[in-house]
Amino acid sequence: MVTTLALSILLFASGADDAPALTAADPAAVAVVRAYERARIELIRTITPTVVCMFSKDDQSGGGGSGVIIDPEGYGLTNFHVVAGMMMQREGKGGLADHKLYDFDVLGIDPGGDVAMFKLHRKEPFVAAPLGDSSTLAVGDYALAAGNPFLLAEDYTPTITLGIISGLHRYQWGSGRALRYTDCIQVDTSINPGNSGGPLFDMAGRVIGINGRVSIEERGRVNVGVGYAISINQIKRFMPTLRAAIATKHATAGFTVMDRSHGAMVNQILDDSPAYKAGLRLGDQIVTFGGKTITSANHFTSQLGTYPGGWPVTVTLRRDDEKKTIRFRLEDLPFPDVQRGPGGTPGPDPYRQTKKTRVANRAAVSRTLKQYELACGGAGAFKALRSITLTGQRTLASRPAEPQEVRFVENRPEGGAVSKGDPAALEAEIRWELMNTALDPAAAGLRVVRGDEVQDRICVVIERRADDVVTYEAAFDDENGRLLGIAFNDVASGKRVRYEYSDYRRSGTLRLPHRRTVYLDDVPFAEDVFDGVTASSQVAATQAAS
Amino acid sequence: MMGLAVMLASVFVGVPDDTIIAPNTLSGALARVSPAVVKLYGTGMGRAHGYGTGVLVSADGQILTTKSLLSTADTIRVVLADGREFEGKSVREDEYRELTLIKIEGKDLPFVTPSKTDHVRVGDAVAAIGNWFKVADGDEAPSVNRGILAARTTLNARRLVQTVDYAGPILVYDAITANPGAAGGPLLDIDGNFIGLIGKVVESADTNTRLNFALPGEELCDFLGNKASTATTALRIASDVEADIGIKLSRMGYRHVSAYVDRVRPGSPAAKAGIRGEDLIIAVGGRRIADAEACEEAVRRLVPGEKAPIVVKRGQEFLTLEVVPEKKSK
Repeated sequence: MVTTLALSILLFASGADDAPALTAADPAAVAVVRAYERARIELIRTITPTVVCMFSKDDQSGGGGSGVIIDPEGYGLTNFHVVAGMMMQREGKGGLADHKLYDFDVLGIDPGGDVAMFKLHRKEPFVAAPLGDSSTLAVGDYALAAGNPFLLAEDYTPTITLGIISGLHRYQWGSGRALRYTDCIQVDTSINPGNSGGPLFDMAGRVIGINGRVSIEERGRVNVGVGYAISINQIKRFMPTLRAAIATKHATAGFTVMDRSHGAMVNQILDDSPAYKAGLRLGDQIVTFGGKTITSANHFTSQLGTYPGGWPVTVTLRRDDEKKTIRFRLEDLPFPDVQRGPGGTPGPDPYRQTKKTRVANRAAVSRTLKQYELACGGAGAFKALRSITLTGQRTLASRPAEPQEVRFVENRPEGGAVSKGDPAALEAEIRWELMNTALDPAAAGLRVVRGDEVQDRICVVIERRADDVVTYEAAFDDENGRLLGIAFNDVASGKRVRYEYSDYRRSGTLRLPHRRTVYLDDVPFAEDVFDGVTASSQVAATQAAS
Repeated sequence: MMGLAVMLASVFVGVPDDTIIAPNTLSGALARVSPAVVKLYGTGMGRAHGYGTGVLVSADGQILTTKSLLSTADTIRVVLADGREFEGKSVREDEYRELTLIKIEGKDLPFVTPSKTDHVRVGDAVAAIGNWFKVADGDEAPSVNRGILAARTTLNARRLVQTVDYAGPILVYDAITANPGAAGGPLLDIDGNFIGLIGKVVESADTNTRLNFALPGEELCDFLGNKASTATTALRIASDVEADIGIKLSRMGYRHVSAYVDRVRPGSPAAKAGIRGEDLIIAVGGRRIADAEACEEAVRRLVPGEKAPIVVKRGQEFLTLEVVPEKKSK
């Protein structure tokens, strides 16, 4: 009862101390409302500096949109359709609530998902908005939109609108110049032209989506109570390549489905698709896809649209009342035709590499390695490091019942990753090379190539290339910087060797993995579990494993 | 101050304490009512979209919705909240309130019962559920918009050029529901009571803008209880109050003709006020008018016996004349 009263009154209270006198029966309810109002105003104050009014560089009056800063270094998210006209120079200007315009570069683009990343330039760090988890939302939750509708803000202070989440997991077809929106968030928060690319916040100030389109019919391009935001969880999978200025394709499954009794059944499949090779067949029912229970063909299409090309997915299928789980990599969907300017004239090719994209890729490498160092103990953690000693047990997949005691002593090598023919030595050298490079990220030879999922975590994959040959790939957790995997080809056996690292725990001044799994051609080979991981600033005496 | 600014700049924005976020009771209310909201599909034509929303009002499959081209079709495809599909048939209609009862063959279905609305005050929070723009498909939940009850009034509206018959009580709110497919969905109060049924897309005759409104629970209860609609009485009252001032406007062609006075009946209120032939009527009762048709409409809506200003352009002059309209004789 108190709640009901509080919510009724809330709609009248202006929130300021000079609010009109309320004649409420319950002063406690009024106090709740006032507290909520103050919290909301405070929340808007904190998110305001993260909102960007986006303009093209040459013509400030010729359209624009909104964006949001998600990293103190100036990385920000917006819609692709907001920056599509800026792809010639890959430049624009962003206005912040401090009333100043800052230059930005357009980094990676996701034309299929209507998302793009930009980076604002300024010496001082920016105020950044934290990212939320769009899978935890419920219909009825409040949602705040911030941006520059109708380009109202002459002084770049964002317009804030408040509404609720009207629907979740919506699928919106692309048509005309509108891009396809999959698994998106529907809100009754006012979204108008100019809000495009701006953030949708939850009531804790976390970005839960990027506002991008509205349902329009009969009344022109204005808010009719139906706005859509691209969910932040979809964008997170594209973040590694967006930051590295890579144009990323969406995924296609290599098969299609049709509705069948509260589910989706495979009705077409290409026999050279990874899905087919993994064991999927015509007539199979898709029970789960990427961990989500699939309820219809539409639902499947919507979920599929949230993945980048090449992404690994786990699929549970049902065939003749038997369930089976398979894992394979999705394939690339061609880019949508976005090389068209107004009136259908050919626009700049948004997919070409330029000096700017190469600079951005190097910055992404250096950011990743800095994050890695922070994750392992803080800035400078690797500096004094001279040796690591690991003691524990190794279990071969072929002999699960016979763990062996192992001890590895690693001293910081002088050179880079040079070993040929000895995967174990090469693996250690790669790890040390990454730690060395973290101290001097300007060192050449590394670049971000893609995003990936390792141990259910979204990763940025960095590739080491020497003499045009890929020598190894390393996957870092995109959120916390941890090294989760290394992969390379073993020259001697011709096999793909992959190491995965987990169970990061504090050991002395560092935080290092205590578990290491080895795969040969994706088949588990051995697992090391370390009970002692000692990092030292002293060179250790090398001892053979006992 | 500088120090604070630098400190703020170097960190992510703070996340306020979750405990001071207003309690959200809406999702609980939605969870109770949503299972009874159905998606309707059928015939459409032009502005009559072939999809809509309905509310299950009995366990054996009675569905309340608005009367439309869709609801009058031979068969209507009904999709329940859980994705189950049924074929429905219209079993009863109320021409005046534009309500329809559709029946599907089912049992133990989730349903809600319309509630009276006297406990809901202007300013109270409301939520509207409906499948506007047919955003939801299959077992997907229809959309929810929230707002506040803005007014309790009576409907005075038209659909394109046609006046809407219903002139009874309505609930007006600020959530946008004047969209294709929304009509027939439930309006809820904050506790999830089914207080109204979202009306069809209409333009207010007063403001010429789309009206977001619902038929209140009392009207729905009357319809479900098979009580005679008050249509005849309401219509008579509406027509009784039509006003007349005794002018005839020049009509050349039939659309958007300026409101030039052709003839003034001798001894009529217009004659007494000094209105003459050739006058161009600019405003009636303080409101600007666009053309002859709007002028006639504005005159009809004046209150007989009450003084009202009429602005006319005569030559290069603008004159404000006071007219006392009389009742229009039948």
